[in-house]
Parts: sequence; structure tokens; C-alpha cells
Amino acid sequence: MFGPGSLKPKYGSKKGGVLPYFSGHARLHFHSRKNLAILITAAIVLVYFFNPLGALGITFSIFSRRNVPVYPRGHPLTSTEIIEVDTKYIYPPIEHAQLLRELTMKELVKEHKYRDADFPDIERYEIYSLNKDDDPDPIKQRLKEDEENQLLELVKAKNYFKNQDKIVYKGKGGSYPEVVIVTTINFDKYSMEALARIVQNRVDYAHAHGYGIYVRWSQEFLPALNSFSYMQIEEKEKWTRLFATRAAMFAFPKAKWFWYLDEDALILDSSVDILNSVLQPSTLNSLLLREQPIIPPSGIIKTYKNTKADAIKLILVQSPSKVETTAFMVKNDDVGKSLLQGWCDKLFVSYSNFPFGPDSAITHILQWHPFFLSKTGIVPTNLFASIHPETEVPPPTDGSRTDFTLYHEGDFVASWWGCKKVECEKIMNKYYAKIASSKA
Amino acid sequence: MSLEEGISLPYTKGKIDVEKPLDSESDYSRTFKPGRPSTPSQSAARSATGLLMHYKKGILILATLLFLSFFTSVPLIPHFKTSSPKVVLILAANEGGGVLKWKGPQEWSVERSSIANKQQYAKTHGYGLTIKDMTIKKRYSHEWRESWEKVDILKETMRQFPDAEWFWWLDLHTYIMEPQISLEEHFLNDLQNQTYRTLENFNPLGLPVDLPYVDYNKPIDLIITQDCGGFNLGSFLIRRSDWSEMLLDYWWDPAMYEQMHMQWEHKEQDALESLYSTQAWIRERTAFLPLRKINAFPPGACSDKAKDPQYFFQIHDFVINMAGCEYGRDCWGEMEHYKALSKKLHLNWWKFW
Repeated sequence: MFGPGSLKPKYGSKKGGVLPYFSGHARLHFHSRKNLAILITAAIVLVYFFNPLGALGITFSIFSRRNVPVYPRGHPLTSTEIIEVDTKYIYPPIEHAQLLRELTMKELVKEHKYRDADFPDIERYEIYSLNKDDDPDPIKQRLKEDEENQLLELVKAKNYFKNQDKIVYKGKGGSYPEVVIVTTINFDKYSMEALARIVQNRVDYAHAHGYGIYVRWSQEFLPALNSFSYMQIEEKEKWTRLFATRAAMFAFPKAKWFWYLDEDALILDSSVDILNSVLQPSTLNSLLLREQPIIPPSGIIKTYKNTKADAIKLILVQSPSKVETTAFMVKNDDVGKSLLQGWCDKLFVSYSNFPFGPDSAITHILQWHPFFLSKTGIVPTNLFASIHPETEVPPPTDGSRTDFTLYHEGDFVASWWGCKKVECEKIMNKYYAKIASSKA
Repeated sequence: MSLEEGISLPYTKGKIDVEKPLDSESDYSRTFKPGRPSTPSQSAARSATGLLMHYKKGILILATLLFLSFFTSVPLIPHFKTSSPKVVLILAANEGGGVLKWKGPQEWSVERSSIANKQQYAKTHGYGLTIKDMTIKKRYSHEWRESWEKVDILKETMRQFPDAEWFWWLDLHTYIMEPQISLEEHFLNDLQNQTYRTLENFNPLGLPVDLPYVDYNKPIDLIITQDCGGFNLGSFLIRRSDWSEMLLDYWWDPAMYEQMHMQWEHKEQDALESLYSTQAWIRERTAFLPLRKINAFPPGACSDKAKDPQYFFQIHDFVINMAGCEYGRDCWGEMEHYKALSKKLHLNWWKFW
């Protein structure tokens, strides 16, 4: 009946004495101990839940373990190596144009012929970059190339051609270009002098505003196109624009915007700063054409009415009858990159029902994928791609807006296309003369 | 007994409280003394008020923080939200049903078991659960679009649970064998270590291992598994983000599907494989879990790789997916088997019958 604990000593259960503690002394200790406990609890709560050191990258967690797997880093289209350069004007040696023309594009890439097991009658081919034969050790490869380059100009041109893909800008903190102008140039289309003028035009503009330029031979993207015949078809060749822009995003990872401007275009007024005149969200907001049909003038799918300029990742222009990719702008963030890649999927490149290549593809994408449409803005063409008046542009059915897109004296950029080789150069020289006279 | 009742001596009774007479005595002679607690409850209340008064500022700050944390969404303060689930389970019911055939009693039973299992799991861990009807209907104007509802269901569920982060898709013929394990402790809290993101070591389809421009430092937004025949979307997770919104929008494209619909027998699965093998942005945020982690197979599935233990269920695997049981295997039998097994594995030790 008298179980343990049912009879308690009168002054607490502590063994070793029945007298009460000296009151004042005990309270003193009690308080200091309690404060300590509260302090420790507060510290733990602060560190674990509010994590003030989180901003410094220090986290306290019992779950974190050390062995995080290591994955390969990103690499350019045709090689796993990169070459860092200090200049923000990245372009291939234009003086090689003649040599490359002599070599022809078949010599500049590697062709792998094979037969599909399912269709043994048809011979297929895969195009690889010459970078595929590189020595795995980049230093050895470099020494080998240095030796070759001194021997023969043709081999030198070939080496430079294949290495252009590896070049990335080694950014310095302060003067990183916010906008990079991307251009693809075709050595079979323009003479060397004309190509030099086109590139110089970009360099001059970029220099005036602290921007970067990224120029590539369009033939460099044969491995991505994976077809020699596509280079002969103007509409198919247009795909190289997208591949080059993606490569530029890799070469300038911290730039904010990429402006693709075709080789068939010249910047006429280098006092216009594209960042202020188009890309600033407040400016862009007023420039966006809302409820603009994707296929003008009367397409059913239109751009959104309430798109905010901040959400825009891709800026397009139109001719009177369709979207044109002679000039476009992409924002350099995850969504912008994804849009660009989604746009140039292999299955779109090879699709036979896209008569205008990437122009048709983006028209299709915008009409089927609301996510893309919500991130895309269409702006007036004369902002950065006024069309040369003699360019053959199918007029809109209702006759409106033609005037709006055509080049007028004093426009920022003039662009032309659909011309024959000699003709193109004539148009180019005409506009180039304008720049020269305005400078003088 | 009689002795105890008869004698009135207080100390001989069975249940005496030694303190009691003393207490009543002190009650009797007690005088009011200010500042000294009279009864234990009063003294507790008094010391509590004392504490409150003593830590006035601290308590005020704490109360403010708690208030901000619970009832507002101001930044820089952690918010504990218990109302909306972080993870939502999507269970595809009625697969293949509808216009093609009637459901028999065994199919009803399988569906009941599967749903009850997910309900119990979701309830245990506070996850959301939504059961989606996959009946084949003539729903789209474009015939190719039929049975691509997965994408639409995911979009719909994301709208339905606007605060949820992860969405776990489960086919009907799955059973959570270890319902006590939460997804967080299973892998979500340690994603980088639990998943693999390149195909170097396990690549049943022979997809290209290396792709230009892929940056694996991006967060993981899609968690899938690979079985013997490639990607398996019987049990996968997708995280709400711009990326997943874009993927769900881009996944089905008529121009691509027109070219590939002869090859893409498994529809979404094949389309995803194709996107994964060509597009860097898809690859960047896709991660793989070993099949047995969330999608273990019973012996009947993957029969041509029957000797490879990495595919097949072993005791204490998390989820079983009776993939392909509707093609010549016994779904109901398998479901009953694994249901019984799970029950057996979680018998409490004192319940030996």
C-alpha cells in the first residue's frame, strides 16, 4: 500500500539533507541558469529557422552531405574545349573568305556516310565539325595547329574556321557588354570587301555604345543543319541565324540581350542606342504592338493585349505579310535561351511544310504554344529592320502598313533580302555610301 | 476490512494522504500575505504573468514575428503554411476505359485498392491528392491529340493547387508499399545526391550522352525513371516553374508529331525522349532516379531483362508499379499480392494473429 513515492519527504525529493536551501542564493543561481537556457534556445532558433548566415552561403543542416555529384560543364556546339579571348568583338578572319571559297564547304567539315539498317538502299550522311578529330589534349592540339598554320595558308584558314566555335568572351566585371550584335556571314554571297564593310559596320556601332559583336560564317553551322543542300536554299540557310545566336549566348554568358542582325543589313545611324530606343522595359512597353496578328494583316491568332514588357524574352518584326527573322532580339536568361532552342529543334529544321524556314517555324510556334506567345513581342519594323524599298515583299491583302515597314531616309537600320549576289552587293554599297556621306 | 472501517484512527486507513491533514491545517491557519502565492494554480498563473511582464519586449517581438509568419507573406521571414500541401499526388484512374470496354469487378477492385492506398499516404504526410479520369473520349479536334491528356491533367492540377510545388504523377497500377516514408525524407530533401543527370552509366535507349550548351547547375524540375525500354512516366515528379510551364506547353507540337507519329508509339514518353536527346534546356532540368526508388517493377514487367535486379521490386522498396499488367497479366492478382505484402510488412509486433 505504501508504494514508492507515495510518501514524500517534506522538503523536496533531493537526497542529502532536509533543510531548505538558503533562499536568496538559490534564486540567484536559478535565474542565471534560466537566462542561459533562453539565450541558447534563442540562438538555435535564430540560426536554424531564420538563418542569418544564409546570405553568405553558409547553411546549418543535418541533412547536407558532401558527395555532390560532378557533371560536365557546358560546351560549344562542336567541341568540348573553349578558347577565351579578351576582345568583345568576336569575328572570324575576313581575309580568309577567298581561301574558304576555294576550299568549298565540303572541305571544311567532316562527312560520315552510312546506311540505315532499316533502309539499306538509301545512303545517308552525317556532318561533323573538324573539331571531332582534335587531340583530346588541347595543348597538344594547339601546338600541332601552330605548326600547320605556318606551313600552308589553306590549312590555316581551315583551322581558324573550325576553332571559331570555341571562342568565348572572357568577361571583365566592369565593361561587360549589355547587348551583343550577332551576324552570320556567307563567304559565297559577298566579296571580301563587302564582308569587311558589314563587319566593320557592326564593330563601329558596338564601339560607340560599349556593346559586343559576335560574327560567324554561316557555313560553320553545317553540322547543326546536317545537310549540304540546305546551304544552297536561302530559306533553309536562315536557320543558321538561330544557331549563331545560341552560340553567342554561350560566348557572352552575362550579356543581357542579343540582337541578331542579318548580313543583308546595315546600321545607318550609330547614334541610336538600341538599349534606350527599344529594350528598356518602359520604352518597350509603349512600342509593343498589342493584338497584332501573327500573320498580318488578318491572322486569327494575335499577340496578347496585356503583356508586360518585363515578360518579353523575344522581340520580332514583321514584313507586311509575315514574321521576318532578318533581325530579332532575345533576352539572355533561362526562358530566352529555351525559347530559342525550342524554336530551332531538328524536327522544325527538317520540316517540309515550313516554306520560310525559321520564319514559318516561329509563326507556327506562336500560334500553337501560348507560353511562347506570352513571352514574345512584335514591334514596328522600322525600329531596327526597315526594309529596302526594292525588296520583294508580298503586299498585304488590304494594302495597309506597307509604308510603315519600308526604309525611309534617317531610319536606324536598312535591310534587304531576296537579291542575287551582285545585286546584294550593289544595295549594300548604296547604303554604305550613305553612312560615309553622313560621317563626312 | 471490518477492522479498518471500525477504527477511526486516521493513519491505519488504506489510502491515506499524508499531506492532506497538514494542508487542511495550514488552510485553516492561513492569513493573506501579499506577494505569496496561495494555491498552486494561482502561483503558476502568477509566475507566468511575472515572466510575461519580465520579458515584455522579447515576447512582443516574438508575437510580431509569429503573426507575420502565420498571417502574412512578407519576405525575409519563414512562413509555416500548413493549409496548402507542398506535394500533390495525381492518380490517373480509368486508364484506357470508356469507349473501348466496360470495367469488370476486378478492375473496380484494383481501382479501389489503388485509390485507398494513395488516400492513406496523402493523409499521413499532409499531401494533396487528386484523382483524374483518363477515359478515352473524343475530346480534341485533332485525332493525334487523343490520349495525350497527361499534359492537360498536369496543367489542370497546377491550376487547382496554386501553392503546391511538386506534383507526383502515379499510374493506376501502382501501390505505395512503404507509406510511412515521406517524399522529403526519401529523396526530395537530398535531390542532388539521390538523382543522376547524365546517361553515362545507365542508358537503355542509347540516347546521345553529350549535348552542347547543357548546364547541369540548373535546379531539377523533372524527376523521372528509366526502365529497360527507356523513360518511364508511370511514376514521375514535376516541379512548378517557368520551365515546367514551358515544357507542358511545348511537349506536344503538331508539326513534330506529324513527322513522328508513326515512330512515337508511347506518345508523351517518346516525345520526351526525343526532346531530351536534342534540346539542352530540357536536359538541364531533368534528373533521373533509380527505377526502384519510386517505380519498382514486379517480375512480369521487363521480362526480357528478368535477370537484372535493378528493375525489380525487393522487400522495402517504396513503390511498386505493375506496368503493363493489363497486357496479358493479372492486374487484380498482382495488386492483391502486393497489397497483402505491404500489410504483412507493416504488421505491428504485438499483433501476431
